[in-house]
Amino acid sequence: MVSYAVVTLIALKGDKRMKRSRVYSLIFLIAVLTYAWVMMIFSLILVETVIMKWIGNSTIRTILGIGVYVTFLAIWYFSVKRSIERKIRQV
Amino acid sequence: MNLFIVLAPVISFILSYTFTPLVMKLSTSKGFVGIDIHKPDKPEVPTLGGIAITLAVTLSSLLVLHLYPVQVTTFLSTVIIGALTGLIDDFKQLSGYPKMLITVVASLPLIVSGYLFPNEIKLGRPIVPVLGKLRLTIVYWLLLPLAIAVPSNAVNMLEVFNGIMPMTCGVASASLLISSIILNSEVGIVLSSILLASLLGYLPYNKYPAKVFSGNVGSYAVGTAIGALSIISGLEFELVVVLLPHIFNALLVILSVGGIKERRRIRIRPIIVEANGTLRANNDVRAPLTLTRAILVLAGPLTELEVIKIITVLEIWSAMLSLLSSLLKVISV
Repeated sequence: MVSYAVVTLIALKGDKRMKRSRVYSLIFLIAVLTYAWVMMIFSLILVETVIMKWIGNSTIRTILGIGVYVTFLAIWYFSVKRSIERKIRQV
Repeated sequence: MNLFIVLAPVISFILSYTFTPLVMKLSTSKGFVGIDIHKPDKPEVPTLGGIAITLAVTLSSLLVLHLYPVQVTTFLSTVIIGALTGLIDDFKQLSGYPKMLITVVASLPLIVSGYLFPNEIKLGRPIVPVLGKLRLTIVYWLLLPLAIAVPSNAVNMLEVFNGIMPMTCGVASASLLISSIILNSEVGIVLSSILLASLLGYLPYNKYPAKVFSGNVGSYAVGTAIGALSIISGLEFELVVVLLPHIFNALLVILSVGGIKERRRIRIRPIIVEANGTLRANNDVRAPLTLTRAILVLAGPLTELEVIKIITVLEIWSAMLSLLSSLLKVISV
């Protein structure tokens, strides 16, 4: 993650006109993407280590698995959407 | 290394670079021009530039057909269905849901090849970081049609500025190429290098200020190509991660307008173009949420070039997350 931060800082430093608000927007959106990536891995771990291991019935496993993926997607999407909408209202 | 494997991307670059001016002339002469709405003088720009990318990818892939007959046939069938969907849309202007359905059909070659040739195209057991091979026996097949429909539509939905499609999809292809090298997928290396080369050959004409637009044919062909090559090469997880900016934009649009709607039918625009060409977010709460509107809300008014730079940096970040995923896969297998 440190190398990622360094690459981003180099990219930003190259553009001297980049104002603070632009850097903030970039950092916010990079955080949104990283948050999505972490949520994806976390939901997979949850499904594989809990649902697949402890539930025997295949149909229930499938329904619960899909439910976990959809829930994680919804948590990610709506938390990000709420932050953006809050900012729109401030503007 | 086989000569054809080296030759195919080179030919792809040359074909894309030489075909694009021809397509531009043909498109202008037949009246296929669009207005660049983000420029103050609103210039007319020829569309259908994506035909050059499709031809370059198709003809150069034929060079390696004898090496990977099943994989290349499947890849080309998917790309051609995607390109035709885009081309029909360019001529007839399809509405949202029929387009989505046709792109779902584009996954049929993958499903058929996976069923008939399970040794060449391995479906159903994707490898993910940390956990290794997954047991997605039912869910995988339910999600497979989306592996083509989502990339093609998501790439199409983000293609709103000059050079965005070849830049972001070029970064995605480069990332998938490196992932294929890390995971030792020979067919992945060949197909992603062909796609990357064709996008590099096309970029000089489409970059800001654009001399040609890709049209729906370009974004659908490239989106389906990224989806197909990822599935064929076993890079399902990397596909989702590398296209995160596109998928995020598509989710914002679809959920804020309440369904899959054609761009031309959305009345309240998400961004406003000032007389000097500066872009600012539309403060109307009814305006759809898009990635560009989110950038403009957070950063304030920007020029088109500044928005392009921010989206490209986001794509590079996603590409790095995708590469990190591939490295974690190697550790977990």
